[in-house]
Amino acid sequence: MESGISSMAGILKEFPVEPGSLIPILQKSQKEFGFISPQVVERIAAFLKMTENEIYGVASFYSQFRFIPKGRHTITVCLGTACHVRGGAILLEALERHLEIKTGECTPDRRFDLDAVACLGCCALAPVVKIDNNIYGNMAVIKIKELLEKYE
Amino acid sequence: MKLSIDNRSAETQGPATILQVASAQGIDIPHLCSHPELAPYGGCRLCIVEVEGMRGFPTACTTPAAEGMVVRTQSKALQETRREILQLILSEHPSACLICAEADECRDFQQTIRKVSFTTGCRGCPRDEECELQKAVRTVGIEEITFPVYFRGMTPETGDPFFDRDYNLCIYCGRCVRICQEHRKSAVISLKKRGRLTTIGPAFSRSHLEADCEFCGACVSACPTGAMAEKNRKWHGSADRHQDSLCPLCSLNCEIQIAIKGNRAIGTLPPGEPGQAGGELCVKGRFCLSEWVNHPWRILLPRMRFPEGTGTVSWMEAAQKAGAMLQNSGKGKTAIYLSPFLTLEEIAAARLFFQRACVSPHFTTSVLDQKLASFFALSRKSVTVKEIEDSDLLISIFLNGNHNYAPLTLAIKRLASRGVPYLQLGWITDPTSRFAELRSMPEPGREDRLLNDIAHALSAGTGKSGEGGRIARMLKAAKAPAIILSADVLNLSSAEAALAAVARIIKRTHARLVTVHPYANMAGLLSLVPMETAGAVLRLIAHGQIDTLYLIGDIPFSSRPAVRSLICQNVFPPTDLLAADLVLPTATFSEISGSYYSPGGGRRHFQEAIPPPGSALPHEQIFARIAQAMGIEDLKFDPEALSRLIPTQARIVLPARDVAAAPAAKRTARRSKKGFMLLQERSPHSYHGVDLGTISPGLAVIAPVDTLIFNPEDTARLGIASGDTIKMKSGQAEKAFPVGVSKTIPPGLTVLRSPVQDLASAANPRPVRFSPAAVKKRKKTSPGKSHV
Repeated sequence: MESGISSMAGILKEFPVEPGSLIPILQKSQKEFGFISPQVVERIAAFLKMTENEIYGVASFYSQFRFIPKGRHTITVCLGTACHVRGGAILLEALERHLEIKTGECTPDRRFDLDAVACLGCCALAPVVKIDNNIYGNMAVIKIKELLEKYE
Repeated sequence: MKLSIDNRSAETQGPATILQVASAQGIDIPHLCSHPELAPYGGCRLCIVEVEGMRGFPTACTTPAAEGMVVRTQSKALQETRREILQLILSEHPSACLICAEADECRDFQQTIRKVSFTTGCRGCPRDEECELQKAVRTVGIEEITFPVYFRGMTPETGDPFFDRDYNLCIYCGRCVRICQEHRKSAVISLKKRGRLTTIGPAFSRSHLEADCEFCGACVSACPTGAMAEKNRKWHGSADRHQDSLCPLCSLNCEIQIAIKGNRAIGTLPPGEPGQAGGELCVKGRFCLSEWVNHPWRILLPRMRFPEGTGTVSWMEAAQKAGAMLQNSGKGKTAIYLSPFLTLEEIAAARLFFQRACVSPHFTTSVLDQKLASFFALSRKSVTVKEIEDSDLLISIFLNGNHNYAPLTLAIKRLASRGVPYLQLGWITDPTSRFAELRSMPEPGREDRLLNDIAHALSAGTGKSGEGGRIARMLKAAKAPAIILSADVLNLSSAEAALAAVARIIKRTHARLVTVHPYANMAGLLSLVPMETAGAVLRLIAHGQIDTLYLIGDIPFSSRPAVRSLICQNVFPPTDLLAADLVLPTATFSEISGSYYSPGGGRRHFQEAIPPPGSALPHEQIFARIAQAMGIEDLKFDPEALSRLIPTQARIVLPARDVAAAPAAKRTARRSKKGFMLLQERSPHSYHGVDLGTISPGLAVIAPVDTLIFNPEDTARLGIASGDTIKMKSGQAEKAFPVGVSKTIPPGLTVLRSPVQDLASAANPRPVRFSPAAVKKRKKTSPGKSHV
């Protein structure tokens, strides 16, 4: 995080000290580090003369900010209408059980993180799971283990 | 302006909301999120009204009243909508008891109580019958809830001291969050996430303790439901009555009200609407006082030491024994320790009594040394916190506002957030630090240097460079600067030099001075009684020149000094090691009427709230009984006669300079890179010689004593963690202390707070060194750790 903190100073330099700067700073920090860490919140708090609690309150309101790092691979499960009908929710639950994490979390070894999405736009292939930029259609619970082994 | 509400004409001076005007007229508009100390919010939507010429239903709490407005609060459409809104709120709140047909009988006979659980009803809720939601349901009238009921199933949070939180009962009115941010300027809690997943708390999933909460309790007071509950009075139910009083724990003597049920003080609250007003109390005034009053360790009967052990005796026997002890004590051979927390009446009675009962007694109090005398010499000029509210520059000097002096830190926070520049001189991070424009950390051991620089720059002209010159220039430019000086300055080895420098600064700038200290009525002691310094009396005891030692609300010894007889008159028993011959139980602040000198020097009165427990008596009555036993018949201590002895303004007389005292500890100029600076502090959390942490376990958690507290960076570097022990050497002696971690301590410094008793140890009448630098030379902290 050492280098992170120095680039944090670079981010903060661009903004005036006013409450309105908070969201742009958060966005820029997330772009830089991939997530909003407690250290980042601490630095922003000192810069904007707000408390960490106020900043977390604002940041956690928006779904665009995440507070845990991303994994090396992102698994996205489609829960759109077509996928839902063909068992998308069951797939998500199976993945949660398999990876031992909840939706929105990241495995302790940082290998995978898991997200749900409303529609990926390829309903003909339902149910669909996306890993990084690869789409896997006609998914089933029994295919999960084999599929995940492809990703290190 | 004039307006009409429900066909009644209402009038208001100045700007007000419809809700405010209506409440002033006694028209009840149901509301939940509106709070008198907070800005209009319009969250709960219950206070909707109809205003002629306005579209829809505006909320009364956010709509300003205007000339000629015609408002209706009770139309059928409004009631319908309110019922709908309230049902939505109740669908996520345990509400079976609110709509149960047998609710009224159940309150009296509890016939249905087994059928409802905590998760569905009200009877198991700590705020039952005091809940604003219940009140709203009664006013709006709800018979059923047509929405599906949802229970959040969150685990109640009980890990933090002083209050519990069960967010299953929360209605998200945001009053706790807003009172913490707007009113207390602390912002320890926020609304986190959104929608159904909304929670309330500090950042990430930190506890209140980790988030450096001040535990002022404003959020608990502001909560309209049972979501937040004081641990101490959780199951006491509602209070029968409230009695106004004054907090006895520090020099600010805040107004409090004591909540009383039967003959018990079940809690203390800030003035205002009980169960609503957030107020300006600190954790001690809000939570610790009722623990003190109700503690099971309180002495209830007089106790005497016999050759075969201690036993309880009657007041008659105790008074005769005390009288005999005083009579057998020779001229100038009685020493009386008076607590600085006594009321003016108690002090006047003590003086009257001892001057009649013994020949030339010595009066002192354990904290009174030369440094404190110099502090009080300066304090005579102190103004009240209210008087600095028009200042345009604030400088605090060694103020540690953590869990202390809340009205003062609040005033600083408010002024600073209005744009008044605030400078903080000192090492400790406290609630005001976030608002400081400049934080200056003086070099340990040479803390007076910066203050001297400022004083020098003020007289030498504006050319001075450096931090001192900069602050001097700001002081010169300011029209009404204020200097805030805390008794924490007395923990420094250079305290006297620092105080002299502050005096020079004040003289040269005409800045107003506010002093704060933890010795509530020290001004009263110094005004009414000819005091000697503690050092002078300690030397008399050490030289065997004292026969009888009478400790009144002061316990300066941890073991028995060499005296013939020892009487201890207090609320709590002294340690067994003190081997007191006589222990007399006294009433405490809630059980007496009296007065203190306020910070401005005027007299402030308070009334008794409850009777004392057991056979405990007020100090005056104990003196009267002893006087009677001694045959002094005319000492009756009539309250009015006593009151006449007390001047309306404090006239502080300082004790004679203690010339024989050992010289102050030498300073060392430099700090080494390897070692830690040790700042030894006298704990500011004591009352009548008792460490408040022993009475209030929560206080011991948030402000631990006998613990070496480090900055988290230092503990990470040393590889130690909270709970480890560290050995500290001082000459031949060696003692182990547990490690504490706090962000309030700067890196490189470690703070050791000692409870009051140990500091004035009589067996060892050498001066206690508070200087971090001086201690560093003699004591070394060894990083070698050992787990407990």
